[in-house]
Amino acid sequence: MSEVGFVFSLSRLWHVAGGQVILILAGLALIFVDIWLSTKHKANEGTIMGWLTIFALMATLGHLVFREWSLHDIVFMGVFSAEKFSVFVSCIVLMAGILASLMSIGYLRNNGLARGEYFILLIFAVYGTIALVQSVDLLMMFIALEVMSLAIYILAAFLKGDQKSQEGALKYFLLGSFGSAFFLFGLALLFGLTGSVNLTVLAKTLSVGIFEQPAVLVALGMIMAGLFFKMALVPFHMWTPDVYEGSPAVITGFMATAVKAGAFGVFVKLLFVTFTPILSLSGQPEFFTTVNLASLGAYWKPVLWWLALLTMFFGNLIAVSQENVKRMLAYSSVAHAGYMALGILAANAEGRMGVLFYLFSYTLMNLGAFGVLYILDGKERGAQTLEDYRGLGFKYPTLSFLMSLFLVAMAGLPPTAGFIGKFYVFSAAIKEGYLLLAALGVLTSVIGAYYYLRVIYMMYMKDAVREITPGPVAAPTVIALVITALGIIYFGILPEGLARIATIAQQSLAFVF
Amino acid sequence: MEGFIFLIPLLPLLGFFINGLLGKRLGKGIVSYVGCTSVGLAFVIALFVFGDLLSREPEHRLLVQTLWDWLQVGGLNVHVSFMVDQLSGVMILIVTGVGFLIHIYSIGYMHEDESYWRYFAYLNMFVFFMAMLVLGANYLVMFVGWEGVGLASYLLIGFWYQGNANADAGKKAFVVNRIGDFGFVLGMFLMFITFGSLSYLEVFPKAFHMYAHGYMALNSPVMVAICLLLFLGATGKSAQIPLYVWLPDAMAGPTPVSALIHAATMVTAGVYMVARSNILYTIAPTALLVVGLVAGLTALFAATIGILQNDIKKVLAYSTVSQLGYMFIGVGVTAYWAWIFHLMTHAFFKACLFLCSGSVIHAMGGDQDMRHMGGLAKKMPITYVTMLIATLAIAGLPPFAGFFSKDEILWRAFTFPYFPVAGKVIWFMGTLGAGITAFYMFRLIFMTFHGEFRGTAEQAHHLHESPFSMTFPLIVLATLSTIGGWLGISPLIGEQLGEIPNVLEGFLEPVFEHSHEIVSAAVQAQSYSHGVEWLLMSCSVAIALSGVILAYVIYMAKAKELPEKLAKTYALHYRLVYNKYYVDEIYYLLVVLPIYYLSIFLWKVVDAFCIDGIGVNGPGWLVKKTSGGARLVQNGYLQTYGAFMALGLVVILCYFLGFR
Repeated sequence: MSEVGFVFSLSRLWHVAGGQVILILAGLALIFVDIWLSTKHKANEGTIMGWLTIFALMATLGHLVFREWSLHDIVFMGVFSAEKFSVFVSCIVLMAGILASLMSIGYLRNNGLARGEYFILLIFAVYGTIALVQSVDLLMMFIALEVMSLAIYILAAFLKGDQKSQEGALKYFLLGSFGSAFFLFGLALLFGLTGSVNLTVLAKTLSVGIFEQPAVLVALGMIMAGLFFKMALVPFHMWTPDVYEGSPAVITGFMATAVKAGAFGVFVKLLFVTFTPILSLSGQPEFFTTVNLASLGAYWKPVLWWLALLTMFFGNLIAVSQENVKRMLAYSSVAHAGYMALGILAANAEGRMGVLFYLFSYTLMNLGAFGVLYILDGKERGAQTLEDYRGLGFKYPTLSFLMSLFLVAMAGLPPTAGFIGKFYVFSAAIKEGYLLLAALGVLTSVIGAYYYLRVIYMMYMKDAVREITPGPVAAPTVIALVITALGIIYFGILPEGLARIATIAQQSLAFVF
Repeated sequence: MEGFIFLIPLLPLLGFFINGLLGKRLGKGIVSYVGCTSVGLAFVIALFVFGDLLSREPEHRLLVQTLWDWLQVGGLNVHVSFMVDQLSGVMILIVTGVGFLIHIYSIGYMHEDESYWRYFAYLNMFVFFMAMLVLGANYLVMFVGWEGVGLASYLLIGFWYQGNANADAGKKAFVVNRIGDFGFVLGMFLMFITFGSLSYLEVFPKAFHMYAHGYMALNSPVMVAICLLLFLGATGKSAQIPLYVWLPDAMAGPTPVSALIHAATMVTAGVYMVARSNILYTIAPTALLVVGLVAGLTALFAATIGILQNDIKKVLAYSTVSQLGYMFIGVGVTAYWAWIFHLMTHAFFKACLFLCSGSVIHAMGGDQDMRHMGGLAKKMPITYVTMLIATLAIAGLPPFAGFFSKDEILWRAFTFPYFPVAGKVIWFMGTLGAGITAFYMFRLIFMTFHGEFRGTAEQAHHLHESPFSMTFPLIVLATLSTIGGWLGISPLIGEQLGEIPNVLEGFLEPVFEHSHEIVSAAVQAQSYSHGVEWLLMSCSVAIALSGVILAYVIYMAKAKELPEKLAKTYALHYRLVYNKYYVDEIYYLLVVLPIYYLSIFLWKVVDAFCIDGIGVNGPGWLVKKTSGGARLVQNGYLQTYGAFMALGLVVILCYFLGFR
């Protein structure tokens, strides 16, 4: 790394981390806007704050797409980097944030919760996630992780007076502290061993001799465990069902997509920059020795093999016996994490590309499903069980059709993006010789198809037992649902463009410096 | 005019969409207008294209229009393209022309039907697919049309689906045709492997050059195999032995449908396909022999069944099978142009016969049994005269159309260059069949139009001549049945009558040029004198006349008890023929029953028990049970969750630190 990288300069900050700057400034400004709104325009507080949030997120997205994507100097002071991989994942996070904000306007109205701090917290959650992905410094990573987590904890508890929401948030907080502690401990170990927290410096230092010391392995294990918690891999997934079921529906959707994307992004970055680097491909002589680190793969790959299998298996298996659709979707999100882990395990270009594609398409379909879910729900926990979904197909044809589309995409059937994502990760795994795991994965996705299609079966083939009262459909939610539905079909039929961008993005991990 | 060829199939397709999607709301007037105009316009365009074809030099009479690339997989490259040469040109004129007339006829015939719009939608769909079949420039496009007309035929046979028997007839047609299609598809595969293409313009020249340059011998096994497989397909579509059984049952459909699909056009698709592939067949004489013998047998066999049928449409159905046999004799004995000649005349007189029978059935209030008819000539003069003309044509009496075409085919069979002896056998079967045809056709005329009316008083009261929209096509078709034959007049007669040229042969001959080269190079054809030809001609006329006279004696000449007497004397033969040689029953016993029981076995034992029971529901049950058990771990206690996380971490660390 060049020394220039450590010199502070405002213009460089703006170029490399401009998106983060916009988000922080917007978040701070919105606090004051909200104070003003809550005294003057109480009635429209939620809507105005929502649209302002969307505006801020769009601005950030613009900065990421039009500036950071084509940057040459990508590192700011050895803390943040804007290589294409981070930018791509950040875009997914922002997309999730925008979709969630669009839906939140209607959600908050339906639940009588129109309070401005919701959106401020959402902005900070997005900020934390993006900072997490963009950081190349373990300490910054930890701080970003906490920023993200704290905002999410509060959002999860946003349904005041709802026991499940409170219980879930508390569990999330306590277990999350656990996870953070793992991560922090691993970080401390690495710092103690190498005297640095920078990912590339770590890679260089570790590659010269000490990487197979037990302390390094413990640090790797700790960091992995910490991130697995956020990625919700079995057995670190136990919090997900309770938290996802308890949280406000849109926040659940956001957690299952943005937070997951952040966690997966940072895990991929850590793995392929520091622990099993592809830095050696960057052409810089100082990184040639990092090839050594490939032997660490012998440690983490078998672990990931088993965890991916367990995750795919248990996620899908337990989802089968769920009666509550929201809780079922929580387990399904665990299962999806398993499929994405398969792509990481493959550790090749196609695998990383597959993970990125999967995250992108999963964001669309999952948020779409939660969008329909909250409308059908009326008020939170109004109609979430499978029984409530009986016979909806003919009473609410559009909503039911959309729900079916999202579920079909999650089940991984063509011509949806869900199929393409699964196809990419499975084929990457098969390419690397993980034939058995891929076969077992496909088997578990058959189990998955059962419970997804069961919802559709309930909607179209059964007669209603009781009357449910869906809430009004807000205009922003319509926009979000249209975007998600079209996206799922578009990228299911023409995946090539996105796949090409994702391939370029994952390559950039070799050129972090 | 190449650029306009696509309109010929497109217009009926548009008609299909308009009538099919909106027909229910449009009302009968607009539906008939759309249905007829689309086909009429297609006919006009076909005329223009044909005119363009005629205006060119004989060697440049080939119009090709390529619309788009359809498939590009490996070496397989298929375009959606249309081709009009002399062969498809004549054929498309017949299809759209006769189709147009029958559309008009249908306005009157179907005017009381509730599903009027559905009928016209199907009929338009049929014309669309038939045009695809005829115009396609490669076997795959032809196959699309081939399957499409099968679908249209299925839908129209079962058009009155309220009757179980009609639906069954539709199914039977569909299933039997599937057997043929299986052969067609295999033939295509083999052709692609052999020639690397499915396009006519690549396969045929390639085959000819491979033969001409000695890369492929006469009768090379692969060619025989291709030709026989394609012929299997043709026997299904064109109702030849052994797959003819569906056609008589197909008469369950509305009568205009029988006329258009099951007499004039669709059933000739098989012959068309064989004639299209004439070069391939000429290189494989063995396949030709099979075609010729099967065809001769069919022509004779089906004619005998026709003798004892009492359902007016069934008689015509068996006569169609028999006439298709004559067409196949034509292609089988390398008289390719004679085939299309007979196809054309047959389209005229058979469509006319069917439409006349429709007119009769219409007057009889739906009754098709000839035993209830009689003496209708006075009540329905136009129908009577037109039907008589068509009957004379099919019976092969000069100067009506059927005489010229049938005679040409039989003469060519007699002089079959590849197998002279087999040719004589085929000729014999054909001539005998022609006599029988004359007999049963005049039996039909006598039973229907002469003598006393044998139906109920109510029917007698109802009897009337059909409306003009129905009689108009009859008149047109009867006229064509009279003069159509002169287009392909035998040179022998033509010279006698003062240099009337054989227009059709001269026009079609370039298409079959290569085939003739192959034949003349391969064998020294025996030459026969004009005397022999005259002799054969008068022989067949004599046989046909004796058939007519016999019918008159038995059914008209005051010998009312004669048919019953004959039936009693030859009881065994009578029952055998009356029950159509029990072919349906034999097929049922030998083919349907074994498959039925096999499928019962596969269903109950293999599918329901093994696959569904053990294979599918077993794991499903297991998953549900395991799932219920696994969810117990998720007990809501924070301690458990934390413990699992810690356990996970410990296991990972243990693994990393070498406790493997």
